[in-house]
Amino acid sequence: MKFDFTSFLKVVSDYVLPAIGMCAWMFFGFWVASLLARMLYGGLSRKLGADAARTISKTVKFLLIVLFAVSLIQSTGMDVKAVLGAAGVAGVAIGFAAQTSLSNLISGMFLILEHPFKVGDWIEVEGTSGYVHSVELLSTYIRTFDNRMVRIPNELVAKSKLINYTKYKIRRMDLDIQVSCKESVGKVMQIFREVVIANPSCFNEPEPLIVFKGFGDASLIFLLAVWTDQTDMQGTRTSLMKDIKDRFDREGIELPYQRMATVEVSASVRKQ
Amino acid sequence: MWAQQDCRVGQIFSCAVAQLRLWFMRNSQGWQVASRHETDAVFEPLHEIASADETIEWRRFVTPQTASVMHLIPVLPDRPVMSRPEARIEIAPHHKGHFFVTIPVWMRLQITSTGTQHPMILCEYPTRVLSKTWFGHPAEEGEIGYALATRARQSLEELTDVDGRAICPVVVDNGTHEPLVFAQLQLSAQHMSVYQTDDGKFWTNECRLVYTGSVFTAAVTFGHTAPEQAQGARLVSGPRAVPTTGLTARAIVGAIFRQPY
Repeated sequence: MKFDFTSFLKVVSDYVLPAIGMCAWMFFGFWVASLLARMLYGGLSRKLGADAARTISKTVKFLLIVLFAVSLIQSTGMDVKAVLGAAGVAGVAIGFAAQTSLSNLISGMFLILEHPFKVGDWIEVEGTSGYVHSVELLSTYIRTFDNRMVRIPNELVAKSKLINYTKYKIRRMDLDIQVSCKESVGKVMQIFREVVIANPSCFNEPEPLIVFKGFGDASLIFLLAVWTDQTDMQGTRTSLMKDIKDRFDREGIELPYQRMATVEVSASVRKQ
Repeated sequence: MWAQQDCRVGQIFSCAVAQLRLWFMRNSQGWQVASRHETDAVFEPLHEIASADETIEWRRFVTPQTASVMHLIPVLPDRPVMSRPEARIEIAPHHKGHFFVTIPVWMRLQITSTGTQHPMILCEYPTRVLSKTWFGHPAEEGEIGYALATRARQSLEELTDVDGRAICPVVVDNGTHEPLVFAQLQLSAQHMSVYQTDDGKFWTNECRLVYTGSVFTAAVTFGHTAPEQAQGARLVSGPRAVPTTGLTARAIVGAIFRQPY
């Protein structure tokens, strides 16, 4: 059988070369999208943080690839509108199936724009407390204090009450302290003042707050609120409580304990 | 106690400056340093001791074998300091107020090799334990600093406790048409140097705050030499951070004085 070189050339020029060109164009498109995404990441990471920059650059890369694909379809002579229409229908179907993921993705974008926390912050979301490990496209990862990794969908993070404990450099630490009813309110408050002044971890300003809150069942209740470096809350609490206890012991200040009075009624009174 | 000491291996030295009690010794691989803060201020010159308290915790530093000279150098705190005047003060328009603030120095332990001038800083300790304080609004940009236990005075004669402290002359210049009332001074100690006069007193360079009417802020400048009250003083230690031309813009954080309302 004789090899038909003309037909072979026709096949190559009609199909193979265009296919190679399309592949080359897509490879070029991937390369350009990756390059631009890397540049965008480098530029945004300093301003918005690494996680936000990664999310944005990935999204931009995805959009660029889509643009290249659309231009490729146009270059083949196909009707882009028809293709997009079909893709739109498919997109609606996919959207219904993937609405949770899309919601997480969109919530993630809003979190990036709003920036309520950054990697390393101590936050609490839906009862989960820990340090922000990373913010991804669909979810936020939190490392708990006992070293568990918790994945929280961004949609949940966006619509839940979120507490950021490390947003500000200083925090106020409130201590409810009770002493025995027999103690002098003025003396106890003076002790608190002196202990706080002597404790270097307790900030002079903002000024500490010492309030006599009222009476308990068998106690006087005080609020001692001091400001401290938020990175040293536990250390400050420990040292302050220790100082208070030591001072109470020296001054003979009694801590409250439940008392019960028993009344003995004589038999004659009971008969009456 | 602010001296240099050439040490042989095994020698233990001790001194006390205010609340800081310090021990150091040279070992076969470098140096060991220990410290403790007491409640009361005590001053003991540097002296050799036979043995150290067994309860102290040593910090160990591996250093070149030739580094045999220990220098005890006074430096200023690593954070801004805050002081209040004795009473609420009002400065007349276009008038200057002169104040003196005493800042507890830190002790820097620095070693050099005999015959060379290349120092290696081992560690630093505050000579007095100061309470921390916050400059700024709790929910806004601010800075953690130290609150001075001593008050800003208006004359040198009023300064009584200057041992272990550097005297900082402060000039508050009211450049406005209205009286300036202030109750608190914040000074960027990390931008100031320490000088020493022949009588052993420590001084910082003069700090000048010029209030031009911006709410709660002032332009701040530092003198480049010892203050005029300490003529002939020699430079002992330089600033931790050299003030830049942007210091005026950072006056909001770096050196503010607040009105009481």
